[in-house]
Amino acid sequence: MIQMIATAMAAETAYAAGAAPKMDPLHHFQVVKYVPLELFGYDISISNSVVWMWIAVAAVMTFFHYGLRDKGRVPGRMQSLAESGLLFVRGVVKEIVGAEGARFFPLIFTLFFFVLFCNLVGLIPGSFTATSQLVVTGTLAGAIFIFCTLLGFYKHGAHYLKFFVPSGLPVALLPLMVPIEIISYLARPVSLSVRLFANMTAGHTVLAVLFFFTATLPWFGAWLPFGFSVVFTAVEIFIGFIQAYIFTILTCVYLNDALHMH
Amino acid sequence: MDNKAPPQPPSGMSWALRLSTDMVAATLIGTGIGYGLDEWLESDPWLTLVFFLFGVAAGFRNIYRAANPQ
Repeated sequence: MIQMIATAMAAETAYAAGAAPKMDPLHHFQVVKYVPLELFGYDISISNSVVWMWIAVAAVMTFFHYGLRDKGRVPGRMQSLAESGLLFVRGVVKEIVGAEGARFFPLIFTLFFFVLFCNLVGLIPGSFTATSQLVVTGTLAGAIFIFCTLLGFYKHGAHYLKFFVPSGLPVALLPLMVPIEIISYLARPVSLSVRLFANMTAGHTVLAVLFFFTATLPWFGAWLPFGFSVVFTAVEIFIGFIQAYIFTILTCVYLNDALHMH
Repeated sequence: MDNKAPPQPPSGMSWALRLSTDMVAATLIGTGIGYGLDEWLESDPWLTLVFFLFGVAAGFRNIYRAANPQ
């Protein structure tokens, strides 16, 4: 498999070197299959997206392995980073879902760090941002949506349908409000997935355009897009954090709605 | 829902990023449902129009809910 990755990378380099300088800021979003696989008619190929998700997971595990290795009373640099990440997610869960949320802490924690590291790992030049694929974010959001809906029905039974009927409303307005509430409920996974996907794609496209200008402009013009690209990389790191945070917060809000209906 | 303080947004930017997609997604879902119903019931274009408006209303409802959590 390593050999296949190496071949694919060589092909990438050949593409970059051989092609005339032509603006193609979307090229790095292309999914390349390293190991084509198929199972029961489904495409489960190992693509660059899959490989970079593995790398993100490995990075999270390494981070927490080293962060929580020596449990000093006075935490070292890595330990305090790992602990503050842990406490941060716990604070979010506690604040939004309440005491009952403790059961779902592992889920929220995994989600936050998976999305965060996918965002951050994608900023390494030459890497692939898994969260810039609508399939990836859509799968995450769809799974959260189905999980929360099932949890609501499991917890409240048919009473969960009252979620779509706002309380204290005149009966005459119900035919108007119920479709609105249902649409607003169904829009949750869409907005959750599109937000993450659109932010990552937009940011990386801007970066690619800036890099292109840096590489092709003569030296007296190149410093401007170069400077911008440095600043924008910092903005992208910030966006990566913010988007992971929003994804987590909204998951908590949906969990809370499923657990305690309002 | 019990009366607890609404989650504080970390910054205005994340707040803005959150609201814009909520609005668009609801409109898209509403229009999509209307279009699907039109295809099914062959009532082109009325249900698309009606559900487009429902979608817009749901978008505003989302924003309203995000701005004042009960």
